[in-house]
Amino acid sequence: MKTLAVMLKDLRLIGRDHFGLIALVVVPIVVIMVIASATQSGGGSKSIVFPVVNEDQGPVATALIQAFRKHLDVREVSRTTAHQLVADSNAAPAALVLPPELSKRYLAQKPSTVELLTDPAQWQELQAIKVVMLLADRETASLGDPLGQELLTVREQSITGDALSFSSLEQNIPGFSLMFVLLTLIFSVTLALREEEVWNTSTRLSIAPLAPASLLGGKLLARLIVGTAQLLLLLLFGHLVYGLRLGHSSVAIIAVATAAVASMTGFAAVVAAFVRTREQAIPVGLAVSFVLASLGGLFWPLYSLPRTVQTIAQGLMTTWSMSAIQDVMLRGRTLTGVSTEVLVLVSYALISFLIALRLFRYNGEARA
Amino acid sequence: MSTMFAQSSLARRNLRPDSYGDRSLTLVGTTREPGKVALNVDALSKRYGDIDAVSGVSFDVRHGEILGLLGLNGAGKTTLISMLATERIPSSGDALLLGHSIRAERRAVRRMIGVAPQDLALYPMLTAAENLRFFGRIYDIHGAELASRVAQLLDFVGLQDRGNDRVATYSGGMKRRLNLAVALVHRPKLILLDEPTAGVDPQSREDILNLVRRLRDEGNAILYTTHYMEEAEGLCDRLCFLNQGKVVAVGTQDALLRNLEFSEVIELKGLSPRVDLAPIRALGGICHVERHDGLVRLFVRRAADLLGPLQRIMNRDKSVRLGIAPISLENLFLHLTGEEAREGYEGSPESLRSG
Repeated sequence: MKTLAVMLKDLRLIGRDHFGLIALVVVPIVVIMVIASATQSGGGSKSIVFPVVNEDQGPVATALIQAFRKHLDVREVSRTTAHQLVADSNAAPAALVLPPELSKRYLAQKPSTVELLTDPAQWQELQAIKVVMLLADRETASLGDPLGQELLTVREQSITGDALSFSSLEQNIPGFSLMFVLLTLIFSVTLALREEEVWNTSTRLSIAPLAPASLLGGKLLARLIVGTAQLLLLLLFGHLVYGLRLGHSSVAIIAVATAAVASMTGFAAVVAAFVRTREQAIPVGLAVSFVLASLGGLFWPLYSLPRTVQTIAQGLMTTWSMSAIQDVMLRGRTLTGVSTEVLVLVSYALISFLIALRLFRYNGEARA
Repeated sequence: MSTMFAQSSLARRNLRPDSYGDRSLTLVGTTREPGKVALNVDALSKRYGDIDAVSGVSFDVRHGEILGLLGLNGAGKTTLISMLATERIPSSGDALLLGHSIRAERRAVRRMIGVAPQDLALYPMLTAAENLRFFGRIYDIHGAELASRVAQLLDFVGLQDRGNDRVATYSGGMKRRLNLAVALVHRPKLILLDEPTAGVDPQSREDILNLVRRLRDEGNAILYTTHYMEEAEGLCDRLCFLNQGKVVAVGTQDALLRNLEFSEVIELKGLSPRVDLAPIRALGGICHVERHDGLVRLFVRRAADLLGPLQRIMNRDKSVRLGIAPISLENLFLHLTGEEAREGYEGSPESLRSG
């Protein structure tokens, strides 16, 4: 009977937390929908941008391009644009350069070399391109001697870093590290703000000569320091145990880690302003973390998401964080090279902080 | 009820100066003139929808004085304290702390008030010294001054040996003393103590009361809320009774009791609820009659004049017991609030001597 009484009391308490109750059901549904659409309804390889520099303009080049178009988003561009798409904006994982007289040599059964300018940091998209190239090669072989030897040789050249290829660890370690830091921050910030109420210290703080910005700012700065240290330690662990590349600039990796964690801390504060109880914090925190991680390319590459979702992802701090980390670690960029991402992440942090400041308050009515 | 002020002998009678030992520090940061008004509350009101939580409350608190704020749960004490602490904004009226408005000069007022909330407001995972240091920094106290202040306060509340232990390991009484110390860290001009002895053992309560007396003796203005009548009786220089959001009386206990038309209470216990009180009321000399179930209270000028007739009633019903006592603060409280003991009232029901 006593157990029943305890159970009924707890059910009553849970039932009175309406927002928590809704979050319990609605939030997992949202997560399931996002992940399902990401894994099943994605644009696939058709959404991969593949710049081709056609210096041949012959039938073989045309046939190859037509074959590529069945599977990839092919764009015929100049060599400069191709370089810019791969190396500067990272909009494409690789660009193909079809040299002059390729068709002539091919039809004459003479071997040729094509250049594949790559961004190995986009290793999964790059793998997809290589598979498509194999298919295209077989299709174009009918133009020449189908039984002949290999007439096309691919010379792969990374134009974003030292390495030609990366392992899945180099996607997964930074991705999961960012996801866990985000998860920790959402719980930590939410519960830290609520604990002040549990300890009743919010009463003292709300009547002290302390501006709300100082109070919230101080609490978030503590989490920023811990979160940055957590992220750097996780990356260092990946480096020491799995040989994860950390790039050439320790200043850049620290700056990127700090900016990424700052953006997540600010976002966590906004979430905390809405979440009023621990029952709400857990489902909301988990859901927000998983959605932002999956949409931001922390679990899988963005090209596997539907195009509309990819567009939305460009507005998420997780996307910018992952991109900045890959720029430093895989593409070997310096602080100057990631200044745009750092700036976007810091702006994200500041805007989130201002929103959280506007939304958050303890029970008292009066503010300093 | 007129407002009166005097250094009540009642408040002084429990003073034990030697109990402070060698804690000869000065907690007051500025020169204060005893008797001079520190806080002037003027027609302060707070309205929540259709409910007047506090309605037109006015009183003063002076330097070197403990003003006891008494009232049942829901009387408006906490709302009043939270307005004075600038946590809540008054619907109307104002209060001036050394001339600074709690409405218009919140920042200035916040630097001058120290609050010990009823619920402990401490970081359990920090030590006492760390708690004090943190709140000191919030009030812009730093460096050597802060270190000295922390040591002073730990000494003052008798936690100097446990100052580096986490608060989570403290007893209830120790936490209460630290809760008080934190309120003093910035040398406030007005100290608001909201039931600072709630839930502590008698020895800890006495320790806290001695600390509060010490603060008063150093010239601090203290507003002290409590449910405990005997505590208010022994501690407060003046009393302010709050009932349903309104002040029903302010003054020293002596003056408040003197102003009453009765001076003693006769309590009849075990009287059948069916007994008609008309013959008793007709006896004369009875100013006021209260009846609650089997208990009848007769507020009288002189109990001795009624003993004969009452004895005859008791002879008819042997189960009736009679008690007589001078009017106590508890009787005054119940009379002023028109309430019998109910939720939140913690006065002693056995305060009358047996007859």
